[in-house]
Amino acid sequence: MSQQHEADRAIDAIAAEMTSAHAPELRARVLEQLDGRRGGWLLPIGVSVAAIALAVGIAVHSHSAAPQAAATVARSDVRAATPLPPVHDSSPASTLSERSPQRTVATARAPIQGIEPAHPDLPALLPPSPLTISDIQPKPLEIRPLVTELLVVERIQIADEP
Amino acid sequence: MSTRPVTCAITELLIIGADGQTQPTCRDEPGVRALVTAAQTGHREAFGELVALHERVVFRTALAALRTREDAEDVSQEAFVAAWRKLHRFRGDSTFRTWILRIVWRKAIDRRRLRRLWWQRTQAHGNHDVAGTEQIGAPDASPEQRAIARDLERRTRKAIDRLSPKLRDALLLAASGEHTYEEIAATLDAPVGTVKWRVAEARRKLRDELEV
Repeated sequence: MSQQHEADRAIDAIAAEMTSAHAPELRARVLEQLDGRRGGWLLPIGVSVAAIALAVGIAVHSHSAAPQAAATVARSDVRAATPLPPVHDSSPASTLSERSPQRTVATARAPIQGIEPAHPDLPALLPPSPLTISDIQPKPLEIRPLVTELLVVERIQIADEP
Repeated sequence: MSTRPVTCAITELLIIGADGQTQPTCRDEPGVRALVTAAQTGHREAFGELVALHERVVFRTALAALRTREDAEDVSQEAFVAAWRKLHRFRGDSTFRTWILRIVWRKAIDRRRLRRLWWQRTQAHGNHDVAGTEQIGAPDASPEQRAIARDLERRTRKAIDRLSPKLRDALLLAASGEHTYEEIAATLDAPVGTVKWRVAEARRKLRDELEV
């Protein structure tokens, strides 16, 4: 029994030594890490907010692209007939509420310029012809009466007839 | 209705029954409680004091699970930082010491799982980072006796490493002298009797292997 007790004591001593160490400056490093993380929580939140804003922006843009295209087609005739006067953003008298609609419309109605060729020998590309509603309207169906030619069958002659 | 854990109540009963003391063991001392309260309100210096009070036991607990100083330091640091972040959740159902020990133990076990392959390789080479220069045996022993003691120590270390994690964890935590069996039970999330059995079984296996 005493021998077993001695053996246990020796085992415990070695086992205790296996965990007998200390971490120097642990407190200082913990506090330093806490200080370092003082604003650290803002970064992931900021990134998340930016990502969400980007996703929402893309979604809104993609949704608004289709109606804007249709509106562009609808306004194309008016655009050609009545060009808008230029917008003077530097005018001190104009207020934001006055300028905003004009700026928006003017941006949307920017004239389509021909594309200048990169090479001087190549002819400049002409601007595309404006698309009107009549261009994309379906043509009415027209059913003409069916014309059939008369079928003429020659008389059958039988030579061996008495 | 009390939300205190069962192990806490059992511990109280055991302590009260054995020593006749009425001081519950599941509550912090007033000084520690004040530090916890101050830290919960964002007082970093108070939390620094809590770190200073518990860094030794936390580090040795991590070392018992991980066996390398670097890992134990990292995990101890992570545990304290996690405790700082979760401090508002600490309700005082257990002592702060038990609470932080459970945090560091969970983190240490997580890291041990992640580094199992590395750990096995370290074991295979017998490369222990933990300091082990203390001589076993009497200081006035002869060189031959010292050589025998060193050999016994080396074989004991290897035998401890070969124990199953459950037996080894219980033995190292108990042998560290930093924990009561109740604390070990709370840390390992096992009954006290199971912990005592694991320690006894670990010793028995080591004795059989070392033939001492």
